[in-house]
Formats: sequence, C-alpha cells, structure tokens
Amino acid sequence: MKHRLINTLFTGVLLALASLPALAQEDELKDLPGYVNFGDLSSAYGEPKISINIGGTLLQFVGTMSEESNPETAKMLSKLQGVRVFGYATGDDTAAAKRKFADVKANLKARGWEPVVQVNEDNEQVFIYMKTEGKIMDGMTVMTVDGEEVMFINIIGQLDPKELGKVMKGLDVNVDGALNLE
Amino acid sequence: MVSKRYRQWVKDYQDQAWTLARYLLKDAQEAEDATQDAFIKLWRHQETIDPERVRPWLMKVVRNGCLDRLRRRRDHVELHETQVGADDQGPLEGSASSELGRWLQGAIGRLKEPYRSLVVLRDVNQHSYEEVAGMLELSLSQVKVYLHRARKELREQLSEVRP
Amino acid sequence: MNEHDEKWEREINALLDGELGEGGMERLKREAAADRDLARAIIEAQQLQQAMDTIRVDKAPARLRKRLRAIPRQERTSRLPGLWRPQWAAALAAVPLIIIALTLVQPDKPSARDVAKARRDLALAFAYLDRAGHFTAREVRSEVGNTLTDAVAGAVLRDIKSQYQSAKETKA
Repeated sequence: MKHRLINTLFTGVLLALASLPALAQEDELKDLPGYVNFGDLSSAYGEPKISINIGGTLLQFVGTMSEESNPETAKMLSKLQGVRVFGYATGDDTAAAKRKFADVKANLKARGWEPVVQVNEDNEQVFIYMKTEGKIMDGMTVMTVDGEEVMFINIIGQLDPKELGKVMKGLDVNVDGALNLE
Repeated sequence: MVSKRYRQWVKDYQDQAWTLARYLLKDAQEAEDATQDAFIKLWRHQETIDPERVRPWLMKVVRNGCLDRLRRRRDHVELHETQVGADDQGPLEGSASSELGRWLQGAIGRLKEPYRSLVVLRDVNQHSYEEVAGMLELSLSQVKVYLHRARKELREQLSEVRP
Repeated sequence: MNEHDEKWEREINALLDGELGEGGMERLKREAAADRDLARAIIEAQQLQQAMDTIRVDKAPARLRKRLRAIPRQERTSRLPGLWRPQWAAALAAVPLIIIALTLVQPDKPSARDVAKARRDLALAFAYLDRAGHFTAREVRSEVGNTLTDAVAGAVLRDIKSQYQSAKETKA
C-alpha cells in the first residue's frame, strides 16, 4: 500500500513537472512582437507529431552550456527569445493546412510582417515571413506543407542565417538523422 | 515606490481595461478574470515598460488575453469574417445614460473583430489613433479604414432602429 | 463602396474626429446640399456621435478593484520561502511535497535533463528550418514584399538565397 501511494505521488510529480515549463514558456512568449499564434490543426490531423516550445530561460541555459565549446552557438542563442515548432502528418490531405496558412498569412500581413520567400507548387508550399522594427529583427516565421507533413516554425528574436550553419555544427546536427527521429 | 506607481496605474486604467474586456467577452466574471490577468502581467513587467506607454501596453495585453479566452471557449465565435451571435449573453449592463446608449452598447458588442476593439478603444475609451494602431499592431491607415467601416455599419443599423 | 463614397466617408469621419478644418466643413456642407445620400450619411453620423456621447467608460466593479489592489501583496507573498508563507499549511496539503522542495531549492533554474532536451529540440527545430531553406533554393520563384527596402530584411533575403544557392551548386 505504502509503495503504491509513493508511486502514485511520484507519477503525479513527474506529470506536474513536465507540464509546468511548457505552459510557463508559452505564456512568457505570447506578448513578444515576434510571436505568432498558429492556432491548432489537431481537429484535422490529430495530435501534432512534433511540438517544440523553448523560451528565453532554457535558451539561455543551452547557450551558457555551449559557451566554452562553441561560443558562436552561445552568441546566436543569446539573441533569441523563443523557438517554436509544430508539425502534423498530413497524409496527403493538405487542404486544412492550406486554409490555416491563408489565415496565418492574413494575420501576419495585418501585423506588419513581410513576406521574404514564397514557393508554391502543386502539392508543396513554403512561406517565410519576417518582422522587423527598424533595423532589428523581431522574428521569423516559416510555414511548409507537402504530401507528408505541415510544419510551422516561429523564431522569436534575431536570427542570422549565416550563423545558422555554424550553430547547427555546434549542436552536432545531422539533418537527415534529426528529421528521421520521429 | 514600485507599489505606489502600480497603484496609480490601477487607479488610472482599471476602468478602461474593464470596459474593453467587458465588450469583448460580454461575461462579467470572465472580464474580471481577464482584467486581473492583464494587471498581474503589468505588475511583473513594470520595470521593462516605458512609463509613457503603459496604457497602450496594458490595453493590448487585455485585448490579447480576451481574444485567447474567446478562442478557448467551446462555442467560440468566428473572429474574422462572420457576425458575433452564438455567445451573445444579452445586453451589456453599462453606464449608458439612455435607451439609445444601451442599444449602441449592444450593437458594438455584436461587431466582429477587429471592428469591435477599434470602436471600444477609439470611440468609448478615447485612445488616440496612434495608440490604437500600436495596440492592435495595425498601421495608422488600416485603423482609420477599419474604424470608418465599423462606424458606417453602426450608422446603418442605427438608421434602421431610428428611421 | 466606390471611390467617391470612400472619399466622403473619410471626410465624415474627419468631421466626427474634429479633424476637418473650416474649409473642409464648408465644402462638405455645399456637397451635402446637392447630394441627398451624403446629407443623410452626415446626419446619421451625427446621430451616432450623439449616441456615443451617452456611453461612458464603465466603472470597474468594487470586487475587481479590490482584486487588482491585492496583486502586489499576492505576488510578493508567492515569492516568500516556505515557512514564511501565511498559507503554507494549506499549500503543502494541496501540492506534492517534492515539487515544493524542488521549487524552493532552485526557483527558476531548469534541470540538466530539461536543458539536454532543449538542446535536442533546438537541433530538430534548426534541422527543419534548414530543410525549408534547401527546398526554397530548389525553386526559382520568390516573392519580395513591397516595402523591402529595409536593410535587415534585404540582407537576410540575400543571405538565405546565397547560402542555399551555394549548397545547390555544391550538390550539382
């Protein structure tokens, strides 16, 4: 009986700890100008296959831990306030994703985001938007859809694409390997 | 010192924040909760906010919080293209001094976003065009165009009620 | 709404906002005398303005005002260490002990596990970003915003294009 109670307590604690940071991080990012609310596509595609939401505190810690081994990574991360990625498996039905893109694009346009890249093919689309205030970048949004998946990426803060390659090296990113994880 | 400054902000802006939340959410209890949430954020972020920009900052936070609540409601209304109707909980009880004023409060409450926020912020709360543009993250010209449309819609409804 | 209507809507709204000068008002009056629809629109606008004047900012209810005044005390109290919290007994009863212990010891510091997970998540996020960039480099068509004279946006666009153009050339 005692062991069962302790196990129940421990499970509850783990669950509580797992949920707290995510909620706190989403909350801290919402008011930032580079934040984009993508809404929810789970009614069309089920649970997201990927959901990443990293706020300022965690980013700083990852940066701090990279400082010695990779100062460029630390420098790039210090300029970011949030990294968010959501992805769903589309199973060849891209209609809902495209409707969501239209909504998000209208919202971005109304909020002064600028389109940087637009690629539109039969079953594949990529949109990249940026928000700037003067010479400072507030954020970047990337939306992609193909026959397999729809992805929403929101980088909040300043991201220099030149640094991205170095940072990926610093984080030991094997692109193909990383994308095959899920 | 910090408390004193905060208390002054509460005194200066609680009514406007409440009015905006009330028009957007229509439910008094939820509007109270949304207003409190916004002021908690104000308390927590007060060191980083430009004191000259507190009012537009606060109204923006109130509005965003209300829109989040509306999205989470099970029977939430379409925020973009269709008229509000499903969650209309009856006329707003406000400070209108006449029947016409009370009718107008209801009509404003039935406008779709962002027209509703625009009318409340500009015509009821009397914020400047520049402040409203900042709060809603719209350009000045967009604010004016949308507000003109909102007023035209209200005028046309008014002419049906008072031919 | 046609251009003509839009022009008059702007003038009427400028009138309501007190931004129409004397010359503008005279012009509007002359036009209204010759155009019944315009005259009606002006009258309706004035009726709306009068109705607006009867609406005031609502006074926040007493209960809400009390809640707002209590925020500083509540926020300070929630940061006090365990034993000094007035309601610590009730809080302990409601929350698993282990959470309180962890929070008190390291209030805002993520665990090593959290940081490791964040690092993996970041790697994945950037991998997706990189893949999107490679995809766009395959295509010729791109669209640039009308006001893209901004130095930062322009520089980023050039960087994105050149970075992935080089990758494309390398692969070819």
